[in-house]
Amino acid sequence: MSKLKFEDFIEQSGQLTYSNVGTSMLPLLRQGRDLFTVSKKNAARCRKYDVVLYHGQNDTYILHRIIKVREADYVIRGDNCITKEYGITDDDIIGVMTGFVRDGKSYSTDNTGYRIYSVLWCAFAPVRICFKKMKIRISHLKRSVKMKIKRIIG
Amino acid sequence: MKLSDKFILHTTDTETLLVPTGEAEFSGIIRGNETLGYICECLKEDTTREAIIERMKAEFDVLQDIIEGDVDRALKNLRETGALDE
Repeated sequence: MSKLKFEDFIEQSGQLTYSNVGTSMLPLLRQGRDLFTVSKKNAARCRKYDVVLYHGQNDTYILHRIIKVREADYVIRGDNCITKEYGITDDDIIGVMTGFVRDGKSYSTDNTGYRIYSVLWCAFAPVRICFKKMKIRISHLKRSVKMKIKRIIG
Repeated sequence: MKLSDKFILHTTDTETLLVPTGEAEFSGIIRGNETLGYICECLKEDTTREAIIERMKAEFDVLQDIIEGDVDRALKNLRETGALDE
């Protein structure tokens, strides 16, 4: 059986339907339940809100959303992530998500509902990230208080 | 036997795809035609080789030998990739 890399498969077939691993694209893509379809990137530059498959470090593949198009590169972030990724160029991008499957139903990224979701999700990102950071700080604080109490008692 | 929940079945107009989730050991895609799609649909519920063949005989106007060959080939491939829970 021959093993193809994602980019080779997309080059041959024009597109790839696969499942995601992890939580970085929640709530859009749920691990073990949803599928995404990535089509070969053409010569044109990607657009803001495009979800792209690109090469990450250590030979990994990442599927995240473009939140800013810059002259030389893109600023990218997962829908469920806090940190932005900089320096992703057109050369790094293997394909652009053109559809996804949720609960067995296929959706195109041209779907109006999806496009509204993309715009709103990015627009409210600062608020969401602020809440997320607060939640992380509170959970760290709780943990450190628990540790201190344990040390005092024990 | 049943289709493993570590795989997601997706049927397009032209083909059937069986895609592993992150939990599956297999990393690749199983691509097939309408027949594979039908067999996988049967395997969504606990079933047997014989029950699949019977369902296919009722659904398709094809010789039993051909159906048996298709089912055996599909089950062999699914078994090899870990897509079957037995």
